[in-house]
Amino acid sequence: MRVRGSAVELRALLRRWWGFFFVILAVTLPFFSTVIGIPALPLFWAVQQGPGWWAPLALLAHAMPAVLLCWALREQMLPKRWLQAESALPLRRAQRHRADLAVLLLAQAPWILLSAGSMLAWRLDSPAWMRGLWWGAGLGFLFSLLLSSGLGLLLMQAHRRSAQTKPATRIAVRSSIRLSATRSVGTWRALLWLPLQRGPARPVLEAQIQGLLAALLSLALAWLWPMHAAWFLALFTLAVMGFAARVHSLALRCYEALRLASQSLPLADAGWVGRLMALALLPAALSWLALLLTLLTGPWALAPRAAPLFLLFGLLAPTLAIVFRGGTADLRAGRWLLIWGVWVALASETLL
Amino acid sequence: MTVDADFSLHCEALSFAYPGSRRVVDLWTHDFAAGLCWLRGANGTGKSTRLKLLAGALTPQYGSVRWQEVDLLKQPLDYRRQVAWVGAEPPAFEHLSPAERFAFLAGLYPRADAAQWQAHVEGFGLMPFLGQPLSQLSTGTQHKAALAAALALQTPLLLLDEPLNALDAASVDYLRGLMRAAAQASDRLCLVVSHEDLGVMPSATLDL
Repeated sequence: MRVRGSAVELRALLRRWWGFFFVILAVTLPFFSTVIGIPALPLFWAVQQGPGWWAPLALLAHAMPAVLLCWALREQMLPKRWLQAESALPLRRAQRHRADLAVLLLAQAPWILLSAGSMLAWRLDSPAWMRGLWWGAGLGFLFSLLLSSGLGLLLMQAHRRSAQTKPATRIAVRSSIRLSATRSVGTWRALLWLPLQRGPARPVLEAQIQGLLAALLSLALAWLWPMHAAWFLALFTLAVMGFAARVHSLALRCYEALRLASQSLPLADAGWVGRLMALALLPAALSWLALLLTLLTGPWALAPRAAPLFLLFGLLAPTLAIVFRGGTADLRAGRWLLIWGVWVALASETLL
Repeated sequence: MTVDADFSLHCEALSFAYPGSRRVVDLWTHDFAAGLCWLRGANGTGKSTRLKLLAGALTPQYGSVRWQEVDLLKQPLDYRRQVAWVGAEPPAFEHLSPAERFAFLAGLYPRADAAQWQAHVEGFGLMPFLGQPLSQLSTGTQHKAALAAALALQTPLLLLDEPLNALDAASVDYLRGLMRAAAQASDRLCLVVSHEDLGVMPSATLDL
């Protein structure tokens, strides 16, 4: 049942993201013959190194993408809404672990397939230095899989613990009922801020903070290594646009129940569009201010034309990416990449 | 603010079907008078759906609803200011405490009365729970919080879906007292869907 449920969740996820996968695949296809060899390389390095520290480290490096997949897909593998029902079932710990392992294999399937494809590509190429390493690499692959599955199991347990109900806490108990009843709670506070703070929209707040931190980190790196600042500005544009889209998509999902509930209240439904857009663009706006400050005070000279255009597009790009959301998934992905492409091109010309 | 004495609520050919399903409400036409109206019917006859349509929570595929001269589809915000609805499901906005929830709603409904809310809070025994988010309260307490808020909004149209569900004996008595008073009202309508006997004499009964 778990595997079937997870497969349904994964299919839904794939439907939402297939446009982006398609565009990324189209972009990376010309380099496919070069890139396909990379996933299996740590396995051969591990065997070549022999006993010592480097071999386990290489295997751990190979296991990490699979662990990342387990982490990223944990909600699809074990939705929080299932946890209470699962706890109520007469299941032994071993049965839960077996079910976890089955869905974890499903989550790791892309990396397993990629690694197998990579090994096959090397097998066809058969370079001299790999001869005699094949059995060891195969065993290493198995060990890497065991390692990622073990770490995946730990992640699942942490996921279960994090979802357990916290003890009831009182919030802002006021000394007088009259005071609390007559002090109006505004729409923005009740429907936007408190859900962010207390629960239904917490993932939105987390994504906002992550987006802001990613943008600030890329600016800090640009400051520290001015020689490579253009690269870090490109990273900045990716972080800002990526997180703006992510926050907006999360906000649409997390606030949907509140939006539907507010339909029976005297509240204009159109107001939701603006509210959710404001949430998505808040980290982008704060990042833009940090960008402005960094560019003006940084250890570099600014290009007189490209720099103002880059800053102007910094305001436009995340907004455009969110405002135009119509069309098919690949059209949306293409539009997003086009907007980002223009911004990143300006980023490369901004610093002299 | 006073409520107009000549109460009128009229629904005309109201129709609704959930996606991929048969019509649950089919060309429903009815005139409601003020007082306490009990809407009865077997499971699946569309009682809750009718209440949601009258509340504006669902949009009808056909037909109209008018309170006085205010049309639900043409003037949705003006209409919704006249309606309070308590569904059978756990109340919405469960991240808010009962006090915050009422404070939020009071800003949206012109006749909301904080003194009445306090009276209902005491009547339903909600005092110890005012500072906790609804999500942390029991089903019955959530339901009582929703009832207290809806009653205090003082709207001319009050829609209650299974209001006696999950209530303790004291709260049932308190609510019956309020319904008894609603049955005598000439300026507002309390429309109740309930499988249980209301325990008070309604001014009208509507069988589906």
